Amino acid sequence: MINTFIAYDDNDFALGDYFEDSHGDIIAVIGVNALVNHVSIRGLDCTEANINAILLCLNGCRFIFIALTHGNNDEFVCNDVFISAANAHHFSNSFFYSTACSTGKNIGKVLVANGCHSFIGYEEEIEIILDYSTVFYSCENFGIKSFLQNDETVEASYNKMVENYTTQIDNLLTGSMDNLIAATYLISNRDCLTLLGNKTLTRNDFN
Amino acid sequence: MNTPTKIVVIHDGLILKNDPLLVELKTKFGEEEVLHYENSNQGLEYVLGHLNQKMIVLLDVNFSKGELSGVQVFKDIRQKTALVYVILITADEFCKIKNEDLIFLINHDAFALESVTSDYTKIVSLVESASHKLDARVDAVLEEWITKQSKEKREKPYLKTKDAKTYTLDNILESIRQQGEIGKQMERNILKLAVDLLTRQKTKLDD
Repeated sequence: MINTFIAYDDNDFALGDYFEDSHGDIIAVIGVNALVNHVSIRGLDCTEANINAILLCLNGCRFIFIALTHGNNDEFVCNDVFISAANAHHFSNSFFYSTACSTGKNIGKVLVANGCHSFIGYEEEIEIILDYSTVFYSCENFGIKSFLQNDETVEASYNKMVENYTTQIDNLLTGSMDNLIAATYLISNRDCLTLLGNKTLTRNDFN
Repeated sequence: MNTPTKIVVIHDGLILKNDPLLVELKTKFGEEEVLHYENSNQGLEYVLGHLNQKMIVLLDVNFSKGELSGVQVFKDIRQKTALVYVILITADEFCKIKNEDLIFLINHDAFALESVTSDYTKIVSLVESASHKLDARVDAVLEEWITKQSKEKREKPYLKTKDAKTYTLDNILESIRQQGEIGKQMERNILKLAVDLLTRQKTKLDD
């Protein structure tokens, strides 16, 4: 089984609904995948102590960690900081998938330096046009859904994710000015995506 | 199709209605589009009350006592928006403008400074150049689009950043006019989209 943890900040004042819908979007796919054993960690449970305790139980096995929360250059935040350099070593043997702002800039590299195999995330702040939330979180989640559904490398999933962004951008071009504005923000988000670490692993490496 | 640009002439030394400069401007831009204010306070009031339309201000430097000086009118406009082009004109020598005022004019994008002579063609040519630049400015296009939206839509949350800030279209409009970060980000995103489409040769867009 592929142990998959999804931390999502459903408790966030500004984006709680967005994170919850984004979580639902992932669960709709991996929830019916017999290879995946998933554990969802809600906002109030996303504390550094709790995350450390959960990961310690894995005894060094490989796992996938998905973060649907706020973030910045150096940390993941869910009310309080729950992942930073201080507990980066707990993510050794993981594939870390982040939709949080700016986490590809530094903390992603810190995680990889501490033994995390692969990291996908964003190097800059990312933005959402509210009337197009579904498109935005579908694009953010595309890579991990593809990775868990197919026998493909992390790099292939990443490339498909970028391609999907482009497809969604093109779909929006045939509509109104609102669509165009949404497309410009998708482009901005797409262009700050980053893949760090090992690019050749497949889901079988986590099974 | 571009909406017409209003040419607002704030000058107390022109012949009402028949001044050659006004006649020439009306011939080029249309009778309805050229407005003349002899009183600088009233001219400023018009400009600040009509920021939702494209405007070029032709502004005299010197006014009678009790009226705002041209430089003060310029400063008051710049407090509200960076998107109105202002051309300052004076019959005096430029050296009579205070150094600090000249620095302010240059640092806050006065479009041009021109002396008034009997040959108005230079001034008309500057207005034409400003008009062309206004049509080509991304921020001006965005401003025009936002101001055309309904009040309800403009006041509704439109954009969320993943660092938990929410912006309405009115917030974005203000940021565009003040050259704030979120407005500049929107401009950059539009240019990014344009470059992306051109490089991918996606040139067939629906209206």
